[in-house]
Amino acid sequence: MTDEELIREIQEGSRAAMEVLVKRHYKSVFAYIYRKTGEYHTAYDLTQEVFIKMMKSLKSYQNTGKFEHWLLKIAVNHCLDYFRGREYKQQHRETELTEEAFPSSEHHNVWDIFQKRNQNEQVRQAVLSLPEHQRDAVILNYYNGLKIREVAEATGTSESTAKSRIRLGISKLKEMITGGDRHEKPTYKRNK
Amino acid sequence: MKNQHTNGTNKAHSETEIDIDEYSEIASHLNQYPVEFPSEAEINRTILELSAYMPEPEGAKQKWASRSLTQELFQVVRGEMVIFHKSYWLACAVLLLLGFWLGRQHSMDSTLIVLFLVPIPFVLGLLEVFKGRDSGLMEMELTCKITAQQLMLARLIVVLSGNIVFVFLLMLLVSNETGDLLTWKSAGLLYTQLLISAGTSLWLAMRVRGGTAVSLFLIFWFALVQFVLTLKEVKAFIETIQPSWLAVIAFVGAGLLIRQTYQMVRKYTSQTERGYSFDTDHR
Amino acid sequence: MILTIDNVSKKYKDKWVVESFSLELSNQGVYGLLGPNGAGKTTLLRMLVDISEPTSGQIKLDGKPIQHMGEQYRSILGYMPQRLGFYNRFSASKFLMYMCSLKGLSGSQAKVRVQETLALVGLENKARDKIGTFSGGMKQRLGIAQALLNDPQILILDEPTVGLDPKERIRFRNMIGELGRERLVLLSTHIISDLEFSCKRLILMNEGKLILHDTPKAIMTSMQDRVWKAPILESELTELNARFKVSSLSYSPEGITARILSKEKPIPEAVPESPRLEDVYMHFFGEEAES
Repeated sequence: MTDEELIREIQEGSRAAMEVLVKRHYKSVFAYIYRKTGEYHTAYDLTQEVFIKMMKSLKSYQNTGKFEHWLLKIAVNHCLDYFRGREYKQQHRETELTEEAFPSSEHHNVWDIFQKRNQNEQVRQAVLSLPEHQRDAVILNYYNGLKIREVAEATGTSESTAKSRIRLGISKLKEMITGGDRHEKPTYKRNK
Repeated sequence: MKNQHTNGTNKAHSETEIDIDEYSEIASHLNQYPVEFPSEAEINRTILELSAYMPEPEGAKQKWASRSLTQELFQVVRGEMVIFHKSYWLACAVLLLLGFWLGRQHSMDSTLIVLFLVPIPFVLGLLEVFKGRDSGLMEMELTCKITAQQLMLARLIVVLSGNIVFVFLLMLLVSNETGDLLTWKSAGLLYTQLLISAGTSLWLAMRVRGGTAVSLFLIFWFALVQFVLTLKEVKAFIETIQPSWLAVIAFVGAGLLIRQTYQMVRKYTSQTERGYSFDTDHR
Repeated sequence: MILTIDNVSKKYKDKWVVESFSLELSNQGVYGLLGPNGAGKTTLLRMLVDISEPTSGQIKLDGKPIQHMGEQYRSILGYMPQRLGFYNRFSASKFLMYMCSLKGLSGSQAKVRVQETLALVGLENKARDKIGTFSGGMKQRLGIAQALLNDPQILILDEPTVGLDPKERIRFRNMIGELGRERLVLLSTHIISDLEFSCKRLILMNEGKLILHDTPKAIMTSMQDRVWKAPILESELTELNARFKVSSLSYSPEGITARILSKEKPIPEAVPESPRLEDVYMHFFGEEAES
């Protein structure tokens, strides 16, 4: 059954159809949120909340074709709300980063973390240290397999913005990851 | 999951996508980022939470078309009317005949006779409204869609409407001879008096057990009528009462009735054992 | 659809009538609630149909507490109480029409449902007869008809076969089996023959507590090697009862046969037997079952 057929069944009260739909897309949503937040329990809770939001807005879903992307859009927005929420800010005291290309000096403190031998942890931290919008774009594009147009839709921007965010993200990741591997002192590259 | 784009097929397309080569340097690192997914049980937990958000089934799946609350209430009123003990309707008929007979005795003032009879059906009806039912029935009734409040309200409506009709018929019958009762003035007088009595007796019934309240009210009522019949001044006063005063008293009566009804309905919420207690046999 | 009984307890005066009862019932099927008189079954069922409030714990339908659901819950419910009361001067169909008005059915819907439910319980020819003229069995059937008027998804029957003769009981069992195919049926009883058909799960309850709940097959299997059959003499009865749990005795011209529960062979003449519900009853409740 297609996603659209399942949605019709859910609206007629079929709980079984809901179960199928959720299980079909659970991992994709969870994977995005997990990489976005870096924390398992937070990801679990947020995933649940995203699906609840999905249930509440099923009525307004137009059969645009790709349900999964509509769902990921809910996930993106929900995470945005989460990061902006006061509770989160108090816990993490993170300052918001803007879209301009930063000189690598901003990531200075990240180098220390790369002393860890664990590759896993390296990547996780690297992704987490990306500015929010770049992080979204890269995760959706690389890990969730969304095309540029789809990434743009999910994040509510134009295709060119999405593309540039991905490129910026990739270049930052390159610096952090490959720079760390060589155990070199950071060279402050400036992006043109 | 990797981004897979075939470079050859659609040139224009591939230009708008991120070339896989751009990722190549870090691809192997990025792939070292697996996700620890929740277990089946945890996912099922989420699904259980989501069940609470299932939409209300519409159209085809919904078996019974939704009807308004008032429609349902009147359905119940009709049902309850049938349930009322035959003796109640019999008593009302007897009272009507009594009124008719008294009206033919030109010894007493017809207005006063009717005044006396007016609230009695309502008061007797309260017995029906508050009567404890056979527990087997009650259990079945309470598990139905209808609430205990609606049930009592329905019965009250039956009794009140019955009484309104009763008063009208009484007026017709009694004035058959004299023809002097079918005036707006007397109608106003009678219905005002009904409202006052209804409100008072309901107030009383809420505080005292149904049966006792009814007897108390009737005794009081009888005494009052006797008192009125013997005092000519009171009789004169009643006959010359201004319509505006009448309206005020009617308003007070109606207010009392409405307030007591509201209280009665509120009393039986689902917080308490729906107003009824059950004896369980347990060792 | 999942009905969850979440650690529910009920106290009446100073006694805990139901204690820390937790159970999950789902979708379709017949659930048999088995227990001796006074086990707390009726109290539990009263809480399930929301006419009695738990002292602690909650009952939820698909995660939502039923107390907050009000008429939404009751509209999918059908309940047949243990003690049935009727307006005896009413005819069967008149009574059912009255119940329809309480269940929120419109006039036309009601007419259809009254006919259908009467046919379902085999009372279609008695539609116009006064309930006062009905036998006990007919009254029970009317009670079931009443519970089915709103085509409920959850059907709760409290000791529905009390007073029925064996033929009526068989008929009743078949009907319940049919109903269980499309609904969740919870049947409480202390009569084991009521449940001697495929019920989804057996729920054993005693003294307010949940003893066990499992498929009949699993419960029987767990008792596999504990049931024995042996011919005995009348004179041996007292001693036998003192030493072992005897789940039943059958009398025939040849003598008395006893069903004995024991981990090992109780007496030399005993042969192993496959377990039946009466054995389950004796094993868990320590008294002979009524059939």
